[in-house]
Amino acid sequence: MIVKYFATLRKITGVQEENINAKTVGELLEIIEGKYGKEFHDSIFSGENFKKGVIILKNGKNVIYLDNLNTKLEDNDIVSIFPPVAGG
Amino acid sequence: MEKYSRQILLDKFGNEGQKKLMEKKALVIGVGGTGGLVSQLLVRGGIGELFISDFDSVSLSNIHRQLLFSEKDIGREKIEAAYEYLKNLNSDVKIIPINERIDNKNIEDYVKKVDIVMDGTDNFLTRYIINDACVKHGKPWVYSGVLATYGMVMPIIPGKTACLRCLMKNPPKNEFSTSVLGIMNSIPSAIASIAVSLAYKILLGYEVESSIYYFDGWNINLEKLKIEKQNDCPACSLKKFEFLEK
Repeated sequence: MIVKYFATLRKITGVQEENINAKTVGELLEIIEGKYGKEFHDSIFSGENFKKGVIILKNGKNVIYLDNLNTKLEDNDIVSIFPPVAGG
Repeated sequence: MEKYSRQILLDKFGNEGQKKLMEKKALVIGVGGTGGLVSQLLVRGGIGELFISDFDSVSLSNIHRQLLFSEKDIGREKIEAAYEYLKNLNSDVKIIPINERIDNKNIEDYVKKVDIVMDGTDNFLTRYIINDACVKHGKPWVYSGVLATYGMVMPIIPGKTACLRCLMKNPPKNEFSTSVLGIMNSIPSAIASIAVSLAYKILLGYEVESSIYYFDGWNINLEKLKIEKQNDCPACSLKKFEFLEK
């Protein structure tokens, strides 16, 4: 599936998007953390939970409204990950 | 109408569109980097009435990107300096400065008076208050956020598109701000321009998609992400307006 990174996450990953296959959102994030390390983890998680305001979309739906880390993924899904952008 | 002749030439506007725009009222909350240019474009474009609000004062670090202010305004109330600047741009437009902070107690009074709300704020709590008030009263609003070399814009039309809480259920705990990560001065202008284009589409009755627009101002890239309306969104589906005064 295509994973897209936005805002500050692009500084960590160095790429705007890449192809990674995983069965769930949790597994996908584990793979991404394995590639980019603690800095990526700390941008997404606060302890065991997502940081408030972090947006992970599966085909335009925030996974908070689906099954969070257990949200199932298919190879043709698009996952977009971004922190909130607050400035004005 | 000579003032708007170049806009009227556009088939998307025409005489009818321009007349329609001149009957519309907008509220811009925050007249800094993004909101300042949003206000300026709406006034130059010939919106009927523009309500502006801000409670901050002009500081030296604002000048590089906040186009309504100059060095002589440092220390002045932004609302006063913004009003003075905007009222000289276009005498057709009635500009109404709001000399109080927009919060969960007073926002509904203002939202009810306008056709659209434009986000020029720098914090998410105010955006959740705007979202609740606009969804409750069926008024469109446009979320705009900027940071470093990028920005985001999302048009929200209650009953049609996803709302802010569909995108992000709860406000972030810690927010990255421009005072920490900085801001390239071309970004608020780019984001304000996209936001105003969306505002024109909404005000003139054109369709807008349920999407968020992400602009990377360094690599010069605009991406559109489709956002789905959530059937269990607390605001637009369940009508629980937790950020408004009980």
